Amino acid sequence: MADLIKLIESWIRNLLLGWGAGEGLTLFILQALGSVLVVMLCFGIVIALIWVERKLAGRIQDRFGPNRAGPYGIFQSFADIIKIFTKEYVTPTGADKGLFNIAPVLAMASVLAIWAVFPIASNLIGADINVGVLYIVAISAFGILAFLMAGWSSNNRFALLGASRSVAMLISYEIPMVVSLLIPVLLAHSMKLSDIIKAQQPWWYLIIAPLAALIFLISSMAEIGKAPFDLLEAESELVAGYHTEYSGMKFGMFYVAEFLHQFTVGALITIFFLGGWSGPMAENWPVLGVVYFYGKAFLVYLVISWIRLSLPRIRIDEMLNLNWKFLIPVSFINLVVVAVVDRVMLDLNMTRWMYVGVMLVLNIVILLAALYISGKSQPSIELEEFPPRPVAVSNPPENS
Amino acid sequence: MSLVSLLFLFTAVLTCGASIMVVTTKNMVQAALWLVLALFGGAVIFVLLQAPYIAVIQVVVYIGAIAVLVIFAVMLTRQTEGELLPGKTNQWPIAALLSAALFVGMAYFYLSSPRTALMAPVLDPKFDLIRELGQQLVSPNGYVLPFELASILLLAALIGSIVVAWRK
Amino acid sequence: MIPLSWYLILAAGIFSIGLYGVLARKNIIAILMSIELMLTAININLIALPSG
Repeated sequence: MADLIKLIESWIRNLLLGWGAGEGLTLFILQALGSVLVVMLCFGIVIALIWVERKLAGRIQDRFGPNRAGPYGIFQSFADIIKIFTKEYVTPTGADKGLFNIAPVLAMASVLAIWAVFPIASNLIGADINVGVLYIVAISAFGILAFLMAGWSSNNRFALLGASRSVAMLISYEIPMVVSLLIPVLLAHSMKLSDIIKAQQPWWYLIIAPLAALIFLISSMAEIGKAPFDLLEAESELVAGYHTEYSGMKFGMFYVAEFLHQFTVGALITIFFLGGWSGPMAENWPVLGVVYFYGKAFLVYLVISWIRLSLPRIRIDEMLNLNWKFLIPVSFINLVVVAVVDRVMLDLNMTRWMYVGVMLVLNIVILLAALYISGKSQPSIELEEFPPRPVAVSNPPENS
Repeated sequence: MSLVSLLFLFTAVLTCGASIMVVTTKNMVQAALWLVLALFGGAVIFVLLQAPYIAVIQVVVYIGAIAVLVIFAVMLTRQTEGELLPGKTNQWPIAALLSAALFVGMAYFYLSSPRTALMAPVLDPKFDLIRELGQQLVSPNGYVLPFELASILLLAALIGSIVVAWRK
Repeated sequence: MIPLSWYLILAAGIFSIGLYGVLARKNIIAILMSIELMLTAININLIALPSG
């Protein structure tokens, strides 16, 4: 009972070997089954996530969310899916048909491929590769191509404009994302995701490197295109950005890929900064590890939704300024300082408490210094004091 | 025919097919995307050669940066719609003959030399390639000097591009 | 499992396809893409030779 997943796996393996399948084929079938299960779980979670997001959006904006389709509107996502399935696929004239049809598939595939390296429990991982962190960065690069393809093949000026702006934003924000991802790699001395989780056992990296977590959160929110970095789908500016011309299930794929990407970013933050599957009794009962992992990822998803629903969209030049003039210098300085201090304290052989304390203080100091310096460089705006002037009264006073 | 050989043949056919599409198609955006597929095939070959780090770096650098740059360049210099110029120069038969001759010559040379019939040794799974690579890159007995010179070259290119694009 | 000559022949094939692209294309960006193909072939050679 302690290891439920291994029990099921050995039962299926004995079943297949009993039917006469070879060793390699059994392994292949088991791995295929595992990956299909993870993908199905992802899609199922997305259905629930869409409902949670809409209810949360409703509540934050002082209205009910969907509450017609079933009790508390829980069947709203199913209604949406049925509606999207029945819509007609409209391909604009002059569009490049091959590219037009492959772009949503590539966008979805580039998000699902990240799930292959996630350690979901202490002994459950798709592919425990040596370069797990770099693999995640590489697959993000593929997602960028999907947006370009979608924007170009629509034969639509607005879609192309939206795609160019979004790709400029995506490739700019990859840099602080990768640099702040390097800090857990540095602290764990390995690029394997399971090693990074094992190295977080007493103290999560959220406490040792909170500035890296913050920078990773901000640049990931830019990568997935959630507000305030909403430019990829700025409804009031560009019709719908790169997915203007898509209808039916193709648009549904972009939509699901966006929500799944948000949840995947939540999973990434839990792996790198919140300890992944670790929690009380997670090593003995791997099923509990799965629950902790998905629970923490869901919490980060809620935080990202919360930030999205509270902030307005920022302009593209302000956004690029934020990236190149603030995030990149801060992340590089953070990396260098953490590397040097980590090495020095390793040599000095400090206790764990002092190590955590020093790192935490350093992170806060770097963040405050960066905010102070960037605040100094802005010209301060002098606000003139106007006397209050009544504008909507029927008989205005004489001296107005 | 083991599974690895089948995978190699499939990837080789995919990469060569994508390369042929790159050099023959007239639509430049499609050519750029076939290039992405050919580079991805190259990354799969690197994984088969037990160099996963190089494979991932190929995807990040080549596909994520260089191919995106090529696509941007193609999009900013679009040909007029409906009037795709012939993609080939007038000397294309000589070019085809030259590259075919080069390929046949190299293939004959490789197949006739006994050294190239060796199989790749399977590395010990405990052997940590990344650690070894990192140590070689920064150890004074290793490759730290070329590494630092390459970084200075990249820095010079970066500063040069900013100076060229500077707007007073 | 896979002899070294297979990798080298694949690299030679991609190199010669890239060479054809460099010599026979008019568009300058297409020439750049063919140079990228040649560089990929050289990379495959570089990684394959020490392994075999």
